[in-house]
Amino acid sequence: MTDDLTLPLLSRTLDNGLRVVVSSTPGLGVVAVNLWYDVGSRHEEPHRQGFAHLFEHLMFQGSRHVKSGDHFALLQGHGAALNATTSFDRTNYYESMPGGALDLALWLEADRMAYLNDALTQENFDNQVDVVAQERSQRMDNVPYGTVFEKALPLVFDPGHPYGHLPIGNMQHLAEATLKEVSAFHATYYMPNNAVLSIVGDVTESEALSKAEHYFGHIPSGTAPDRVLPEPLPAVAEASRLDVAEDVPSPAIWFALRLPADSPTGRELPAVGLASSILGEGDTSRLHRRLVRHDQTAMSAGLGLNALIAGNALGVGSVHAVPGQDLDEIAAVFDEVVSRFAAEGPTQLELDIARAQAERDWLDEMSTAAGRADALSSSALLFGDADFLNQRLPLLRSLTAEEVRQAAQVWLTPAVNAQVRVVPSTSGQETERAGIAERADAAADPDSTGADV
Amino acid sequence: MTTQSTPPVVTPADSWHFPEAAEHQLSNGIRVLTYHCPGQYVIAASLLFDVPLEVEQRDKEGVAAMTARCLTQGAAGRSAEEFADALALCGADLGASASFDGFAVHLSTPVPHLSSALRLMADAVESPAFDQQEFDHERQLRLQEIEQLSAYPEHIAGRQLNAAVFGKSRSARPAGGSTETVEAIEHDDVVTFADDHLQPATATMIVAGDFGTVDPLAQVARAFERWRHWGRAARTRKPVEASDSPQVVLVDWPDSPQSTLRVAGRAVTRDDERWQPMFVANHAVGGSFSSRINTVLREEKGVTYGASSSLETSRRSGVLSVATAVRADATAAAVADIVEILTAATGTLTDDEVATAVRAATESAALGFERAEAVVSRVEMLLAQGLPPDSVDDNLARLREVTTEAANTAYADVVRPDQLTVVVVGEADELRESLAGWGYATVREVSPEQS
Repeated sequence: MTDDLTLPLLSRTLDNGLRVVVSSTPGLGVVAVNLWYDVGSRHEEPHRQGFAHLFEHLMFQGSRHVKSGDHFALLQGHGAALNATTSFDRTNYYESMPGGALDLALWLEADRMAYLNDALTQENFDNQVDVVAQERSQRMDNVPYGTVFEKALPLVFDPGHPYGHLPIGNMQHLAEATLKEVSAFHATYYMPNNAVLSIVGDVTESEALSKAEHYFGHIPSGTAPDRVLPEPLPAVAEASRLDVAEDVPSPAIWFALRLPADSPTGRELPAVGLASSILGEGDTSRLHRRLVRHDQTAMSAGLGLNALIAGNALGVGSVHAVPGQDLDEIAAVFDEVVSRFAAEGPTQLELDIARAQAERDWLDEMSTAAGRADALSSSALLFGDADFLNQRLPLLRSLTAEEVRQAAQVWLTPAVNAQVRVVPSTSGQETERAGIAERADAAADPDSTGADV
Repeated sequence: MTTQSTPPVVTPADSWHFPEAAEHQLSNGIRVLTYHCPGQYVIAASLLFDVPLEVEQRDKEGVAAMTARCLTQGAAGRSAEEFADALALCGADLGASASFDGFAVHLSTPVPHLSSALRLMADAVESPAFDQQEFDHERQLRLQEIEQLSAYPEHIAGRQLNAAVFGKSRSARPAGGSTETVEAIEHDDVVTFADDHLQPATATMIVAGDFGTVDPLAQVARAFERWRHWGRAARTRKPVEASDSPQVVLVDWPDSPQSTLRVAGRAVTRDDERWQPMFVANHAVGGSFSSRINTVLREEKGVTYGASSSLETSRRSGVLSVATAVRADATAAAVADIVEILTAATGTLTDDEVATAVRAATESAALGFERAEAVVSRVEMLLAQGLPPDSVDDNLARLREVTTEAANTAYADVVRPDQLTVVVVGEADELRESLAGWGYATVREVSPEQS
């Protein structure tokens, strides 16, 4: 790419509906393949939370012409780096490799897109249900604060809302799932016309397109589910709070916020994003400076967002209090900092820093073929056109101080946040304060990228 | 057109070479290595000082890490906040860290801001403010961090492993010191550390990125060449020996649904002539998703999300280390499996395993070094471990030549499956009997803080 901060790209749709995006950077020896399927945890049946992520695991257990485990073995054996992730809105499969292995990657991806069902076995299925349970344990249950966010999420989205549970899901639901459901899921969501394929790096545009056609062109299209998006919800009507006591080393508060949905050209979520960055990203941010540097009542403080498209997006914040500090006071300061920002807006210096950070983030994302491929797939799948990617930075740069202030006023102020306050339990076992209800369901990783294989 | 039923052929990668260094020395003694990486518009830089961690006093271990923390908290007339703002306006990140083999200051910045960012980096190194209040706060944060980390089983497992493997040497103890030693560190200690050890004569500046529109040497010279400072000569490094006795350490972690496991033993340093065949052997045994260890523990038994082995090296030690977390009720079986796999690997690596490992290691080079930061990071590691910075291509060439026989011979020569250190962080009441029953070694129970 050039250093004028745009990414050259070419988009085509195959006859079977597969959207292909190509960006060529010859000579660097690396090619990235990236596939986004239009299915994530938000599409799951209410009694099968975590199914999309489990399914992602099963995609590595073989297909008609590929033995279980060979997707990894063959690609890694030729120097590739690969993995997959499931999040609220999509499931993503990716690999980066030397150019000579591109055909292998495309052949493997096409085989499991078309023929996964041939290889499904009860043994593999049971095995991956076990593996996912250990993934949840390792990332959440055996880590301090690991389950806090799953408790915060239901404060901003009802349990029945597509975003009411996290991608890792519910282990009991998965234990009750059947192989037939796996086949049905594949038939419903895994088809060329429900996916975007990006090919980026050391391959020419024409070669990339012709390979895409060669490996995927024969796969019949299916009836893709309509994209059903729930009604956008406003910020939560009133602040809510849940208190829990857990085996943690110091008190902490997690904040959850209901935000406006991400969209191709919408200005509201990007404005919220700038506001949350100025408030809570990095050591120049207001929350860090006030709580960590000046008051020294916290060891860390941050605020960020998860850009989702189905009616709303999600904001997440946290403050880790210095042991012994009063959470009421810390919460009051958090509210004060956000309220002041919502009243006054950013300073010019803060806007300049936020813009410099946005450019830096872009350059980091563009510095690898894999990063570029993922950005292209995202734009193409979620927004319908990869080209929106190149409009992101100009849009961010055009946001005014007043737009940023207003976004904070509407979406980030104390009146509209939900808090989970965690204090160290005295006995070392999970307890609850009397009178506060707690959701029993499992959920996962607050990170938007959900879970890896 | 239908799909083919067998995998397409992979055409061999074009020969790839590590970027070539342009090398210079500034008039004040700083060695400069620059690497042009086309398309990398975030420039990465590392200023590495040849300072082993042993220069620290025993009762004030962690002073190097404290100095690293304080270095960026204000410099050359700017307060900590002004300094942070100046960096942020460049879209730059600046940090410092102290490891066993060296002290390094890291910068990353978009190309257009290189000049300003290097100036800030030089300010931090040449004239850090070392404000008393900033020091007090950083020490407090470090003490809090030590306490917080002790609540994470992964951290405890790593700490206990180092203690058990490295015995009395500096490597046995955390680079950032303990509660006791950090409490003893004073503001003057940080000032003295910087004064004694951060000097041009022992510094190498490594810079990588797309230099199409900037002259990195000129920029580095402009920022750093006027720095005149003389500190102390570096002390010689003491040898470090990893344990060669079988040990089982059990750290009680009540109510844990998983046990966090580490299994480690002596291996080789990167300058050892067995390095390449050992690297290949490790890949097959535990260094990839399809390796023996991960295949058994995850794909066959489903007791873990992932299990892997790696060769951990410093200038003076090399260790083969297996890491995983398993379902609590599968703990004893899993540790036994790991040791059994390490044992069974002796002499049994197959042609296919070795060929695959060689390909995986050598054909991934372009990808592994795609980012400027990866280039800088590798050069820094090589220098810190006393290896030539231009040895990447040579290493790849040697890897390509590793035969099945060589991999098996090296593994048999190096790995002692009967002399491993095993660390288990899990519910002791449930585990002590089964671990004792396994009989690998007497189970030594320690509390999480103990070492």
